[in-house]
Amino acid sequence: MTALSSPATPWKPSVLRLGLHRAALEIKLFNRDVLSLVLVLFFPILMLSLFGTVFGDEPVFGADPSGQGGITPAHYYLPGMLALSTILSGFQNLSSYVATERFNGTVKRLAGTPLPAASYFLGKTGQTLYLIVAQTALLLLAARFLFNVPMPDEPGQWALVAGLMVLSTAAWATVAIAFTALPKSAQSASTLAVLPVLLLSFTSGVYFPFSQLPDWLQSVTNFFPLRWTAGAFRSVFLPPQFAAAEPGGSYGVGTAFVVLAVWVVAGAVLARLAFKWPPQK
Amino acid sequence: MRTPAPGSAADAITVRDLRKTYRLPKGGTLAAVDGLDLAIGAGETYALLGPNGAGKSTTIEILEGHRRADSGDIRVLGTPPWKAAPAFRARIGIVLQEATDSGELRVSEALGSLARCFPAPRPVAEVIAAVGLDGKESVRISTLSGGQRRRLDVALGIIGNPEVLFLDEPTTGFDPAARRQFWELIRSLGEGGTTIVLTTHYLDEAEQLADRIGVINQGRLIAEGTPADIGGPELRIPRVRWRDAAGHHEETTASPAALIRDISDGGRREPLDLAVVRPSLEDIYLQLIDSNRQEPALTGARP
Repeated sequence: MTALSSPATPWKPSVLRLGLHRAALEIKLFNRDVLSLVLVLFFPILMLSLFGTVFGDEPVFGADPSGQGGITPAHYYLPGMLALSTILSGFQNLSSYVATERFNGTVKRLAGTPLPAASYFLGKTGQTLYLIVAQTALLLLAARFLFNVPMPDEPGQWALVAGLMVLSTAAWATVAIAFTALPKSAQSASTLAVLPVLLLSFTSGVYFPFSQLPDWLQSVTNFFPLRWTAGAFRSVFLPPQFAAAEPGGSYGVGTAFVVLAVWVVAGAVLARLAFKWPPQK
Repeated sequence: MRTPAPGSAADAITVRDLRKTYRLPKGGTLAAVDGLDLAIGAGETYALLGPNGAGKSTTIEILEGHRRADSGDIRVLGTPPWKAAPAFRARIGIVLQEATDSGELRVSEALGSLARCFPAPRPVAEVIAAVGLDGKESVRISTLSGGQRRRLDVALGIIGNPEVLFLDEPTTGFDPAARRQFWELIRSLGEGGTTIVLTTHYLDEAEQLADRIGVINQGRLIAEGTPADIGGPELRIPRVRWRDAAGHHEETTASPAALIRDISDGGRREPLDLAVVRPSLEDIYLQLIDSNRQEPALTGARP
C-alpha cells in the first residue's frame, strides 16, 4: 500500500551489518585503551590473585573446628569476582564509554549519518559481550589452573553460569545507558560510574560474606542485582554446606533471576527515555 | 555559481518562519531564532554571518536535524530534517563546530568506518587526498594538529558524498595559510555542485567563498545578498579622505571623482594622502549589526 505511493523503495542501511561493524570497531578501540584493560578486563583476575596471595592457598575458609570441609581463599572469592565482572563490564565500562561519546561529539557525529541508533547499541552490546566473555573465561582459567579451584561438572551448572552472566550484564548495561544522562561532563561521568561499583561491591557479598552485613544494609542491597548475582554464582561454585552461611540458608537463585529480569526491563525503559538520538541539549 | 530565485524549484533548502526558544536556567526564555526565512539554491554556497548568540548555530543545527524547531516550515532537499529517515541523512554532510571524538582511531579507520554508513560513499583515499591529509592515513587522530583535525572533520563530512554540506565555523583557530588551503577545498566542493551552508565569524571567508551571504541578528535575517551588493548601495557609498593645510578631511559621497576634481581644483592642486575608500564587507556588516541594534523597528527588514 505504501509501496505504491513511493516510486522506488527508499534506501535503508542494514541495522545488523552496521551493528556488527560497530562491534568490531568498538572491540578494537577497547583493546587500544590500556587503562580500561587494566581497570575493567583484568581487574577481577588481579583481585582474585591478590586474595590468593594475601590469604594463602590453605583450605581454611569455612572449615569446621576440626579443620575439615574448608576451601581455599581463591575458591571462596571466585563467585564474587565473577559477579564483580558483570558490574564492571555492564555498568562501569559501558557508562563511561557512552558518557564520553555523548560529550566528545561521537554520538552527535554518528546521529548525523544514516547509522541507525540500534546499530550503535549493537556495537556497544558486542563490546560488552566481548568483555564479559573474555573476563569470565580468563577468571575461570586462572582459577582452575593457577589456583586449582574445582570446577562444576554438570552442564546444567554451566548453563546457569552463562545465563547469569548474560542477564546480569544486560541488567547493568541498560542501567548504564540511562545513567549517562546524569553527569554533566565526561570527567564526572567516569568518576560517578565508580561510585555504585564501589558501594555495591563492598555490600553485596563480593568481598565479605553477605550474611555478616547488618540486616538494614542487607535489605538495601537486596534491591540491587549484584548481591543476587553473587549469591547465585556461589550456589554453583561453593560446596553445598556453604548454603548455611546465606541469609535464610538459601542462595536465592530463583529470586536472582526475578530481580535481574526486573532490572533489565526497568533499565531498558529508563535507557529509552534518557538516551536521545540525535542528542539534545 | 548560480543564484536561483528564492522559493524556486531548484532550492536545496527552504525555511519559513523558523522559531526556536530556549528556556533559561532562571525561568526566562530566549528566542534564539525568531521568525527566520531562508532559501538556498541547489549548488549554492551560502554563508550565515552574525554576532555570537545571533542564532547561526541553532539555525544550522535545525537544518542538520540535530535540533528540533519549535515551529516553522523547514525543508532540506524537500524533507523536514528532524528525525528524518536514513535515506535523507545519506544526502547531507555535517562538519560539527568542534569535535574531539575518535581520538584512538586512525585517520583511515575513522573515514572507512563512517563510509560504511552511506549507500554511495566517496573512496577513502580520494577524500584523504582532497583534504590534504596524504601520508596521515595510519596516524592516530588524537595526534593530529588542530588544522589537520579540522580537515579530517571536513573529510568525515564529505565521505558520504553529500548533496548538501553544513559547516559550522570551519576555520576557527586556523593559521592564514591553512585557511587558504581550506578555502580551496571548499571551493572545489562548491564547483563540484555541492550545496554548501557555512557559518563563520570571518568576513573575508564569507567574501571568498559565498555566492550569497545572510546576516542574522537576534534570531532574524537582517540582510541578504551577494558579497558585492549585500546591505544595498547606501552602505557602499565611498569615502574620500585627504589632507591639506586645514587638516584631515573625510567626506562620504556617491560621486568621488567630482569631489576630487573640486578639491584638486580640476587636477591643478594635489591634495595630500588622497584616498577613495570603499566600505569593506566588514564595514558593511558592522553597520548592519549596529543599525539593527539601535533601531529595533528595522528588525526583520529585507534589503
